[in-house]
Amino acid sequence: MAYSMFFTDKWDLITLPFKPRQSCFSKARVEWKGIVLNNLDNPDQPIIDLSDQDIHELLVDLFGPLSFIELAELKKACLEQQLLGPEQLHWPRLLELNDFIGSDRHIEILETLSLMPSSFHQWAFDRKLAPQELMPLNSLAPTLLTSCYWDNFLSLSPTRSEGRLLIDLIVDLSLIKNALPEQTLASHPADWLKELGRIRYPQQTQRDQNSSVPSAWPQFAKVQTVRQGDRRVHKMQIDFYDAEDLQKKLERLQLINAQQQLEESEASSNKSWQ
Amino acid sequence: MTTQDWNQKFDRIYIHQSSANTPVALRFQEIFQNKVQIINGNPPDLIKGKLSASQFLISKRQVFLTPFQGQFFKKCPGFHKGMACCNYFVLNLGFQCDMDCSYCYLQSFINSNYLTIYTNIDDALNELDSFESLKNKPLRVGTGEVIDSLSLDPLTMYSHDLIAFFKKYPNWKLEFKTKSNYVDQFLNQEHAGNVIVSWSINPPFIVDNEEHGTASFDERLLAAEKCVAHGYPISFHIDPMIWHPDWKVNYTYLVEQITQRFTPQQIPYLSVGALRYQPEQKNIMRERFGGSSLVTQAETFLSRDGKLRYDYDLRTEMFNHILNAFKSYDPLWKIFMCMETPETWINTLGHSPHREDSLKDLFQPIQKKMTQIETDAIST
Repeated sequence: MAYSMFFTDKWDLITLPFKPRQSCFSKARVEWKGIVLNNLDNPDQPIIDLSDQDIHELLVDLFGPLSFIELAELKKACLEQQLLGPEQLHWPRLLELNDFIGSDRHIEILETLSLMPSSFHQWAFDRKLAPQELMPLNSLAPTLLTSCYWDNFLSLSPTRSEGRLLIDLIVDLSLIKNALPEQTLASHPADWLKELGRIRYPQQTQRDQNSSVPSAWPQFAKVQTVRQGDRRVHKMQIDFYDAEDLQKKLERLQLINAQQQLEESEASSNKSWQ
Repeated sequence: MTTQDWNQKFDRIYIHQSSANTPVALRFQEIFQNKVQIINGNPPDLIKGKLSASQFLISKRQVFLTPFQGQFFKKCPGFHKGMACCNYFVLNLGFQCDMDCSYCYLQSFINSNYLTIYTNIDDALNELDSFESLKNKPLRVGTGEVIDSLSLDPLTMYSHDLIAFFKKYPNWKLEFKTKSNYVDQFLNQEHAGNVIVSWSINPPFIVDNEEHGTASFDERLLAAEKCVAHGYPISFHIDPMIWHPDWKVNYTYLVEQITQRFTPQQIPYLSVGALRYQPEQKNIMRERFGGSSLVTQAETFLSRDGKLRYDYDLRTEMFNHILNAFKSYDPLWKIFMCMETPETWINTLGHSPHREDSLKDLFQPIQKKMTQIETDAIST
């Protein structure tokens, strides 16, 4: 968009305390109705008055498309300074101009994120978390959004998928009375995930622990029970020296498998309701 | 429900101008009087898209009566690859439910802030009339997929049109699926014995804690008894089964009540299903019900079909419990599992539903017999 530029020398302007994580396009400070929109490091830069422009398009022209986290930081700046209220800035429109759905659900996440520490913003920005992945945070009590719990979270530097799972577990546990532990000794996200998972799924953890791996397997087959979604599966590892050794071991397994199938079919034929 | 009760249920009613003189719109105008506005177009604040928790709640309190322009008759969503399918078709005469179950899939599905009632039921029935080659097939049609079949029926009275229509097609079965007890309005209608009135049912403990605004357990059974007395076949869908510490005791009580008050001859089939929901539904459920609901507390895991479900072994145990309980009273009870994988069937019954004599009628594939035009129309 081409703008007619009017340089001003006003002294009573308020600067919006927001900086996009990418650089701002304008070298000059841009004023819109008494607010300097771009918080440039150099306060001596000239000011251009673009108050006659549409604020939504102006913000996009000034900062480029903003990420969801940057929009949350912009929301935070607006809320804290009580600038660009709903009568001036229509958030659904701004979201849409930045390629997000302008729904109430998205605005609620922006508001939630605006309460969270900037270190969390940095992590979510770096890991490119989508709004959908941040949505569970809407269920957290405000005290938990601002709590030092997130220091723990960030100190483990979880990946995007680890972070997504951790957020989901933290939110679930925070909603279940007294379930969320205050801190963790885990030094790796995977360990923390296991720790929280055990607390979140106590019944299933117990059932999984009690599930017996079929004992008939020979010693050369290392069988381990693991959870894959809603199923419990047994993983088998076989070490072998050569083709002949493998052949022998496979034959032995086939024999045991056939025996187990026979036992199972006998058991199922005894089912009472048929 | 009195006029006053209905007025407490809804805050405002919009009626599309083109529907203003339909019987359903005239009834709404009479009951809701100054809450009604006739409009030409959509309601001024109509939202299209995913709703927030507060918008979802509002969508249950405002009604929009309008003609539906699309295809009324659709396949049941259980037609997914990998699921055992019971040949169920749905006829949607509205969108959104006035009740509020904590596990309801509409929470992540509804994309409008209005409970919508379609006023052109005649078009829906004409559409059904047009499926020539299906006329002698054992088609099962339900009206309770995205709206409860009967909870608003005292207002719409659509049951009268549907019962009269299905009299013409004795091979077809119509199913009203409800959690209400509104049956009085159609009991005296002449029917061909092919209208099944069914209740989605859970033990009183679950009804009281998770199925907000619905008829109580006893009210539903009483309504079912009334239907039986008037010659209507009935059914119960024990779905979704919800795990809780006393689940065995409570579901045993449910089975006892059904078996003591009804016979297998009065109930052509029963279905069971366990709690399941799309992962994105978890967010709105947590926002709306916090951690106090058995549904948000549920230990669910990602299933092969992308839904969150209880552990496979636990589901099987729950289904077995119900099946064994019914069969212990009478082996003639016919029970099938709703939206379950063939593995669950095999693990529970010992074989797929297609090989279960009592359920063959339901699970016999009828799609291949349809003409291509009808298949295409239905699948859109």
